[in-house]
Parts: sequence; structure tokens; C-alpha cells
Amino acid sequence: MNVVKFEDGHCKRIRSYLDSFLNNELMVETNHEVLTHLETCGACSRTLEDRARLKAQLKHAVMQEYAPAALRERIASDLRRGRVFSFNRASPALAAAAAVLVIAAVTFFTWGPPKNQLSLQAKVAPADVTGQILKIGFDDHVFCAIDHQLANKQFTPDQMSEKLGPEYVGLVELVKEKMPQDFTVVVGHRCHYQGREFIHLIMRNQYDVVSLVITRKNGEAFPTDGVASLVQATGGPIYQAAWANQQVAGLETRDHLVFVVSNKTNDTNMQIASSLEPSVRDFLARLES
Amino acid sequence: MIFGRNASKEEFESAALPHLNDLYRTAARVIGNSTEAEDLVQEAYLQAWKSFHRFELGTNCRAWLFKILFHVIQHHRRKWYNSKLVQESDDMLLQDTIPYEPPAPQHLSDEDVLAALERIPVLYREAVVLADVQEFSYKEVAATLSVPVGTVMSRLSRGRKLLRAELSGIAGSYGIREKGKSA
Repeated sequence: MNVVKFEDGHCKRIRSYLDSFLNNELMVETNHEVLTHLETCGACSRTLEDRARLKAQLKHAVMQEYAPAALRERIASDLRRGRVFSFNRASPALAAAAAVLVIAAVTFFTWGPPKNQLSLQAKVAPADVTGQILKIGFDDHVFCAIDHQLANKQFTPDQMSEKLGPEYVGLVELVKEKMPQDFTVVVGHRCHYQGREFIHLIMRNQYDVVSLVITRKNGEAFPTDGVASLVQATGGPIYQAAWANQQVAGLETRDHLVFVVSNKTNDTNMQIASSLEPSVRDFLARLES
Repeated sequence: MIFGRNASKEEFESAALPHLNDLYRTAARVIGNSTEAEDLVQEAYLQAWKSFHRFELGTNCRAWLFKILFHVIQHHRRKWYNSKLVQESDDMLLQDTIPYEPPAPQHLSDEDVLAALERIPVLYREAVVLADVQEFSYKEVAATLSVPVGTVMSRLSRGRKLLRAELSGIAGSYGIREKGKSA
């Protein structure tokens, strides 16, 4: 009969492998060596049992904890709202992060746009003129409401009046009237992105964010022929496109481009745009006359 | 089309939300504070949703989410708390400063085990939780923590030893002695 004698040093080496043995992380040869040793070494076998028991106990202890239902709801709510960060129960550190974002937003509006990348980017073929125009409103919505988190702000009426100026402040009341009742106008301001000035109103309810974005035309005009994705509204066509989970509806007046951008469904976004369309056209027509 | 793949909320929810409990309990153990863990997991999900268009369906969503979570955790620690992490050095990883390696005592409660886990420096704790609780492979743990596999193995070795030593200490405080050891 063969008697295999193991030295203490060998046991020490085998024990250094036991955790990886339990995790099935050893090379085939080492695994075989451990198995062979365990067949004849009671002390190492007991150590293996101890370690397996501890591992199971550790796993059991940690797995007893479950995510609070409120956390699941917060995440679901964030998703419904369209990626807008919420600080429902933010820690001081995260609140500080929010403050930094606000400062960054203020910096942007004071000194102009930073050269940053959008978190959502719309790729549109150069030949797709409608898409290129709709992308103008989409980009500003993403830049302000999402990337700079302005949808989490609440401007006062005085702030909106000051930022929009007398020419456009009337849009706030107009939008309040036409938006569904659960929506609030949280931001009304002028912003600049990629060399353009925008009039930007942000409306939101508990879950969704909607932007009304207006900019003066810079030679753009929606093509009049053969556009599939449009709806005929009272004053003219409304064009639409979707990128990621954002829907864009766009229309034009003589001097302006108007966009409604939201994380709602295509139909709902179009309903909102259709609801706003006559009043916004009238409002802009008065400015253009 | 905006991205290589259109990402829907429903797709994201069905792929990512089933892992919420695992992410939360891991964050809670690593951070040691359930409120902060909630905030960090929420932030991780937001970041995941933002980059979900880049996630390849059919690949390991769980490992992808954990990598994002640990990125958020590391950023959080670095930026706001200047956490007193154990500074790892080769010397430290190589030296065996635990001369006696006691077997883990039996008859300890879950609370005892969690208390012992919490006493381990976070560098080791996170490796142990990922490998021994969440059962990621060493390679996956390395990818999650953005460190080499060798570093993961060193951290695990030391973390497990420290855990066993902590449990032995707790058992001793209760008057529990492992077999073969005299009081």
C-alpha cells in the first residue's frame, strides 16, 4: 500500500488554495492536487468544511437584505420622467453634487455654452432636412433639461419674466392654459446652444418632462413635399421624429421654428404639440407682424 | 435612428431591475450605510439607463450593472468622503500578518457575520462580497473593480483571513471556543 506523507508546508500550501477551490477558480492541475490531498488529510478536509460553511453563512446573512420598495419606486419614477436625476432623499454629498450642477448651469448661461458632448445624440442623415431641423429643438432640450438638469429647477414667475423678457414672457401663461393640468411650468428662460438663441420653457409633472423650444429661423424651412411623419394641424403641418426615448414635434411660422420635446409617447407628444400649436402660432404671428 | 440600437424603457426595466436587490445589498455592505446605498444604487441605475443603448443585449447585464455601481461608489468615495481607504501596497499584500488562522466558529448569527464583515477594510470587503456572496468569477470581480486579477486574488485572500479572524474574535467574546482550542 502506498502511504503518502504530507509535510506541514504542503498542508499550508493546500489551505491557501481552498477558497479558490470552493470558488472553482483553480487550474485543473492544482484542483487535482487539492482533491488528492483532501482524500488523505483530515485536518485540511475539516478546514475546507469550515470555509464552505462560513461562505454559505456569509452569503445567507447578506442575502437577507432586500432593496426597499421605495428605492424601486424611485428608480421606476426616474425612468418614467426620462432620465432626470432626482434627489428625493439625497444625502448631503449628493445635494452638494446638485449644487455643483446648478453652478455649472449658471456658468453656462452667464458665459455661454461649454464644448460638451450631449448625453443623447441624434444622428441624422445630411439629406434628411426635416430631421436636421427637428434635431435643433431636440438638442436644446437635451442640453438644458437633461444634461444641465434644469427640469429639476423651479423658477419663480419673476425669474421667468426677467429671463424671457417682455417679448416672450406671455408664453408662460399661454402654456399653462394649454398644458394638461398636472403639468407645471418650472423653467422659462433664454438659452444659447451651438450659436443659436432659444426661448425655452420646461414643463413637468410627477413623471414627465416637456420642453417648448422656440428659435428664430436661420434660413431653415421644412420641406413641403412627401414627408411621411407629419400631422396636419389647424395652422399648418407638424413634423415629428423620435430619438432614444424622446419625441420631437416641430412646426414653423414665418420667422420661427417651434419644437415640443418630451419623453411621452409619440401620440401624447403630438397631442401636446397640437394643443399648443394654435396659440403659439398666434403669439408668434403678433411678434412677426 | 440615434444609436446602434433603440433602447426602450421596457427593455431596460426587464433587463436591469431584476438585479436591484443584489446591487442594493452589495452597496449596503460596501458602503455600510443603507441610505447612502440607496442613493448610489439609484444613481447607478440612472447611469445604466443613460448608456443602455451601448449595452449589448444577451451579454451579462448583471456584471455590467455591478461595474457601473462600483464606478459610482468609487466616484462617491473619492469625491465627497475622502474615505480612509487602506492604502494597498505590495508589501502589505505579501506579508502574512495573521499568524494563526482560526476556523470560523459555528453558532454565530447573521448579525455577527455582518458585523465581522463590516470591520474589514473596504478594499477587501468589496472583493469578498463580489466573489463569495455575489459569486462573480475572479475575472469578473477584476473587471468590476477595474484592477488586475492578481490584485483581486490578493485582496480576497487577505479579506477572507480577516473575516475569519473577526468571527473568531466575536465567538471568543461570547465564550464560544472552536474545537481543539483551550480557553
